[in-house]
Formats: sequence, C-alpha cells, structure tokens
Amino acid sequence: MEILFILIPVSIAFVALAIWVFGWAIKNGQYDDLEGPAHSILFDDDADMIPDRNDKPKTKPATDSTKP
Amino acid sequence: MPEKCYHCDEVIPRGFNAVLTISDKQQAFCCYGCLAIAETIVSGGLENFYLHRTKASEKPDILSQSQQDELHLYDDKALQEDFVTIKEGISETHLSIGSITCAACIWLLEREINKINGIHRFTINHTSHRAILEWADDECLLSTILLKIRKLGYKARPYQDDLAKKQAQSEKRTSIFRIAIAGIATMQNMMFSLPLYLGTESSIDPEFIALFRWVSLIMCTPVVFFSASPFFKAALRDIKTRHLTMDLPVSLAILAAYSASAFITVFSDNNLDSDVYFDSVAMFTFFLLLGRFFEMQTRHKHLNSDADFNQLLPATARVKTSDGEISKPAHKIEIGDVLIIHQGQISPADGIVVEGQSRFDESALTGEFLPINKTIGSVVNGGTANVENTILIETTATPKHSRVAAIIRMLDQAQHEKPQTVQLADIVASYFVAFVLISAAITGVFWYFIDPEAVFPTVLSILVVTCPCALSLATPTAMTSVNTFLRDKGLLMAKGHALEAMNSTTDIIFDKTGTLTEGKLQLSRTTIYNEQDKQEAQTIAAALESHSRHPIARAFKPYFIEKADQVETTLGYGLQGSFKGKTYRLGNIAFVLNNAPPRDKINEPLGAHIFLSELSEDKQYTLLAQFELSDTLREESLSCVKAFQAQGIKVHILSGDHLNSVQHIAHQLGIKHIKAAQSPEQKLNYVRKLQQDNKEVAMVGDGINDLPVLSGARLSIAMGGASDITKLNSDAVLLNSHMSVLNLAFQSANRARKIIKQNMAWAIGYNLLMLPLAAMGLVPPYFAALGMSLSSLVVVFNSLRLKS
Repeated sequence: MEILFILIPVSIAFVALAIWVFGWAIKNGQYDDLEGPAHSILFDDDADMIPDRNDKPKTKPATDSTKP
Repeated sequence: MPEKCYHCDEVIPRGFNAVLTISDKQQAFCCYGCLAIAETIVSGGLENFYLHRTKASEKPDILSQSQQDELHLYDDKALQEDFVTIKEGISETHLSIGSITCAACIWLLEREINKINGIHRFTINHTSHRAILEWADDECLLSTILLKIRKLGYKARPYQDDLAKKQAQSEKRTSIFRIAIAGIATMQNMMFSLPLYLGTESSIDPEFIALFRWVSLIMCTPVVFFSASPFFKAALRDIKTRHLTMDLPVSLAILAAYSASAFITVFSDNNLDSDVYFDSVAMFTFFLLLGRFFEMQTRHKHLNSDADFNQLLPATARVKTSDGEISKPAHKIEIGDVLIIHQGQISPADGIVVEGQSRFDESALTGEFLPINKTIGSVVNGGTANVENTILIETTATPKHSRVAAIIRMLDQAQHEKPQTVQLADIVASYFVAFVLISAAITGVFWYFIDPEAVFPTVLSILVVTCPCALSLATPTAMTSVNTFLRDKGLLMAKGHALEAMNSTTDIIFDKTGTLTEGKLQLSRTTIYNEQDKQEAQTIAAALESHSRHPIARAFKPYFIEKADQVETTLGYGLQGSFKGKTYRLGNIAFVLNNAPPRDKINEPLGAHIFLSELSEDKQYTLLAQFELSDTLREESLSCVKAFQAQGIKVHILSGDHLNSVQHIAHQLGIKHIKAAQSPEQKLNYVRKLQQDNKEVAMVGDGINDLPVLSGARLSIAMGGASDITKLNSDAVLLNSHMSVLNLAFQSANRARKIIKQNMAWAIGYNLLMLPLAAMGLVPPYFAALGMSLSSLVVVFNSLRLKS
C-alpha cells in the first residue's frame, strides 16, 4: 500500500493540472455563453442530407465529394 | 379569427395581401417589412428558421433612406477608431443585437452573416445578445453587415465595453472558477475521507490516516480561502452594518470546521478518535456557491438582452462646417456645432433651430404623441425624432448635458432615495441567526465546565444542524417559482423586492399614453358629407397618408390599399395628391376647403381630427369626410383598474398629456385621482408627497418622462413597449400588453407570501426541535446532514406548488 504515497501526490498533480486548464478555458471566454451550445446542436440544417424513406435522396448533398 | 402574419404573428390588416411560398406552403404576411425579411430568409435557404423558432419574431420597423445613410456613417474610419480594433488587416468589433426572441434567431443571424464575403467570424452570445464580428475591411464594409442584419429584422449597433460591464464579466468568470475549485475539491475530499469514516483502528494504519488528512487539508485550503471568500466578505460587511444575514453563520461554520480540522491534522495523534470535516466544508461551500450562481443567472438572463440599446441618443451626428458636411461621433459634438437632422432621425443633442421648419415627435420625453412644430428659434431636445423635413440646429448643450441626460441623472438620484422594502426573510433571519449564535455560545460555555473535550463537537453540531439552508431556501425558492410562473404569463420580475412590494401596495399610479392606452392614434369616428361612401373616403385618405411619416398617417394604415400620386405636403396644414385621376386634399378645415367657409355643418370634434375634400372641375373643394382620431384604451385596462379598486388599492393617473384627454380616459375608467400636464419632476414630487403620507406607491409607466417617477416609486412596472432604459430601470416589466397579468401578479404575490411563511415556520420549527438535541450531543454529524437535506427538500417542494 506504500505506493499510495506516490500515487496520491501524482493524482494531486493531475487535479492541479485540470484546474489550471479549466482556469485557462474560463479566461479564454469559453464559459461566457453557457446556453448557446445547448441550442446550437439542434440547429443543424442537414435536412437535405437525410435520405427519404424510400432510400433515394431527393437532392444530392452539395458537398458529396467522397465518392471515387 | 383574423389571419395572423407568418413572421411576426400580428393580425393582417384588412385588404392587405402579401404571400410567399415557404416549404411548399403559402404563407401570408402583415406588411411588406415582414415579407421582405421572409424573402431574405428563404432565398438564403434558411426557411428552417420558422420551424426551429419557439417565439414569433418582432415586427420590423421599415428602414428609411436616412436610417440607411446613418448606417453608412459607421464606415467612416475616424468614427471606427472608437470601437474597432484592427489586427493584421482584420477588423474586430463588438455588436449589440436587438430584437432577438429565441435561439433560432441567433442561428439564423450566424448563418446569414457568415455567408457574406470577407467575414472571418461572427458569433452571438446567447445570454448577452452581443456579437463578436471579425471582418476584412477591404472585402466588405461594416455598413453592409449592419444592413444585412437589419434586413433580417434585427437591430445592431457597435458598442464599447464600459468599465462596469468588464467588471461584471470578470466577476462572473471568477464565480465560475470558484464553483469549479469547490466542486473538484469536494470530489477529491470524498475519496479521501471515505476510508476515515469507514475504517476501524485495526484496518487502517496511522500513517495513512495522516496521509489522507493532509491531502484533504491541501484540497480544502483553496476552497476556504478562494471559493468561500465571498461569504466572509459579506459576513464582515454584516458585522459592520450590524445587520445579521445568513452569511455570518455560514462563514462561522466554514471557518470553525476548517480550522478545527486543520488543528487536528497538524497536532493530534493519528488515530480515529477525533474527526476532520474537510469534506463537509468543501461540499457546503460548493452547494451554497452553486445555488447563488443559479439565482444570479436567472436574474440577469432577461435583463441583459437589450441593455445596450439604452443609448437614447444616436451615436453619430452630421455636422455642417465651412468645408461641407462631416460625420462626427456624438460624444465629440461641441456647443455651437450646426447639426443636420434629416427626416426620421433622432437629434443627438439639444439645440436651437437655425434653418428650416419641421415637426418633432417628443413622445419619448413628454408622452405627447402629436408632433410639435419647430421653426427657426425653437428648442429641439436631444432624443426627439424629426418627423418631417431636414433642418439645421445649433447645439446649445452637448449630449452629456442634454435634457435626456438630465432626466437620467434624476433617475440615479431617485433610485438612491428609493424607499427600501425590508424583506420578510431578512427580518426573520437576523433574529434566527442571533438566536443560533447565542445558543451555540451558551452550549459551548456549558460543556466547557462539564467536559472540555466535547465543546468543539457540540458547538459545531449546533452550527451544522441549524444550518440555515431550509430557512435561506424558504424565500428564494418561493420567489423563483412565482417569478417563473409570472414570466410565462408575461410579467418579468426583474428585481428581488418586487413581489414583497406588491403585497403592501396601497396606491397604484398609471401613466396614460402607452400604458392605459395603446399609445397610438386610431381612427375612432368617420363622418361623411355630400353622400360620400365611407369606405372609399378611408381608402383615399389612406392612399394620401401613405406618403406621410406623421403619426396620424399610421392610423390610416389598416385602410391602405393603393398609393396616391403626386402627393405634396404643406407643412402644418396637410397633404394634396391625386388618386384614381381625381385630386384630393387631406388636412385641417381651412386647408382642405382652400380657406372657403364650410358649407356643411361640422360636428365639434373631441380630439385630433382631419378633413378630406375633393377638387371638382370648377376648382371648388367639396368636403367629403371628417376623420376623428384618438388614442384607444387597452382592452384590459378597465377590468385591471376595476380589480385594483376592488382590492382596495387607490388608482391614480399621472400624465404629461393635456388635461382634456386625461379626463376623457379617467372618466371611462372611473378613476378620480388624476394629474395632467406633469413634467418628470412634478410626477416625482407627486409620488414623494404620497409617500410622505405613508402610502406604498406602485407606478406603471412606459416613457422616458416616467423614468424618474418609476425609480422613485417603491415598485415600478414598465410596459413592454417602453424604451429600453425604462425597462432596465424598472422592478418589473410587462412583456405583453395584457394588463390583467398585473392583477394576477398581485394575487400571486399574496400566495407567495403565504408559502414563504409556511416554509419559514417549517424551517424554524425543525431547527428548534433539533437544536436541544444537538446541544445535548445526541446528533451525530451524518444525521445532521441528512436531516438538513430533507428539511430543505420539504421547503423546495412546498414552493413548487406556486407554479400552478
């Protein structure tokens, strides 16, 4: 169990690192908008890329360049 | 059921027909403004906006040519120096966006604006409605971007961060960091304190006890000295002002538990005889901080949005100099500058007319909604809008010293002297806290003589078991559920004391224009002469008025079918134009009959009125119709006033308008206490006088002229159509125009008071029961924590009943 004397300080170092990264993110303004991201995920306008029920896309996606 | 506009959800005027096919379905619109926006949206392929949005959009103002020109002023490099920073060829600025109603608006704007060539970044903050814009100035102009935003139906203006805003932002960031530290420390501490709680002497070695305690101490230290510091500051302030709040016992508990645990860690033997409370300290701090953060968030959420539109004066001015016209930022205007004010523009400063003749809409300052004539020598106030012709004014006061600014200064002063609403919770809490502290001290002394070892655990137990959580939750939870309920109904409770203030209101004062009435002229009566068809007369008048920007013209909008040609305005008299091959005149009686005496009997009109005449082939003007216009009462004004009177609240009208029109409205509503033709100062004095007679005054208003009196009243409610600065400085904002919501709010306030009392009775009762047990040392810490949480839950559920 003596390994704890090494592992716990290591974990403290990780926590300190996590806090530092978090602080950096806050300073960078990443937490200024706490609402936006929750909404923006719902607004993907990929309606034209979702195939119809009969499995034939009505309009081809404009960015379809993956085909050989 | 009349048809509603697809864009703004307002009723489509009779006879107006504008349709657009959206997603294979025909949709109708109420005006060309809405149609144009819908066209822009659809042509951008963003018709999904209408599916995503959760609220109808705002009805757009039509952008006049002069407003467009004003937007172009923002391209001026000298002007841009104030708000644009340029880095490596990329300009960056912050914009404040108005009229955003839901998240879909932001999605639409970000999509559309980012399509413009030369835009590097355009993102809008969902909470503050401010955007960061980065663009390449050589590829697109700032005005193009602003114009595009206008075309989508939103308002945008560059804004500068002032010091207060920057401070608020850094304050918010720090509080997130505080919560993060407390949260992380709580989780880590749990991990290390679990073995200490569960372990027995035989299963855990002393050196591990020491290790876990020391690690917990390290984890807990930043929580106490950084995260919990707001509580300590507040507690210190409380001691200085001799006013007890929850912060004092909270601080005491945190400090006591921390220092005792630290003492044990450093000096005592490494056995399980004594407990450390580092995990409790961290968790306690974490939950308290989290609670306060959420409370702050809800409070700020709806207030930020249009805050930057509180600039009542335009940001730019056109100045005439010897070298021609130049544009200037408004704050650089000097006394003696000659300003050019076009039709539709707002005067940026006070001044005297030196050239031209026009009329100004002073409704923002006086509540008078008919424009006032301005000729050479007349005084023009900053913040009033030019309705008719371009004029020149010589500045007599800089924007900073204008009449509007003076009113706003008066507002600050009034707010300072605003009577305080003492919250029930504060009174109860201060007694309770005093009681807790005294009993903790007595218990401590008592145990000192019996068993000095037990002093600390029992005192701590008392502080924890009587942790005022339930008590401190009693009011905020009830307030939050009532506020959410009322917000759904359309009343935004902006300031904390609004609910309590409603309960004790004895007098309610209404402004007239825009509050009890719609604040816009409507055609109230049409009298016809010489066998003219009524509908046709209205159509002709609407055709002529479609060329005018006068407020009277708006009253004819619902009757508009087709525009008239060759319309000429004779200032101060009326309009002349041809419609379907015939020439008509619309205006005052002398003008429409070309100074000939009227041959018909004319009824005595009550308020504003105009006449319509036709020019016959023998150059004679024949009177066709008389239109009477008046400001109409809001639908629910009468029932609202009646309900207040039935409740025993005295209703007053306080208006800047003429006595005649005020009396007319007061008579309809059955209000006896009226004051007309009041200046902002007089209004404030009226309220002060009432307050000296120990009346609790609530004021409902909308204009800038109501600002000082709104701030002076103990409870101020702004109408949704009020200017932004008025809304921002009011205790509550009625977001729709349903006056009955006010009655509902007063009833809810009453219910909330009952619930708060129940909550407090529960919290105090529970604490009083537990206190003796804790004092006797019969309550183990884990039970204290459990009981405290359950007690808080009871309070929360009781408060939730208010939502229905």
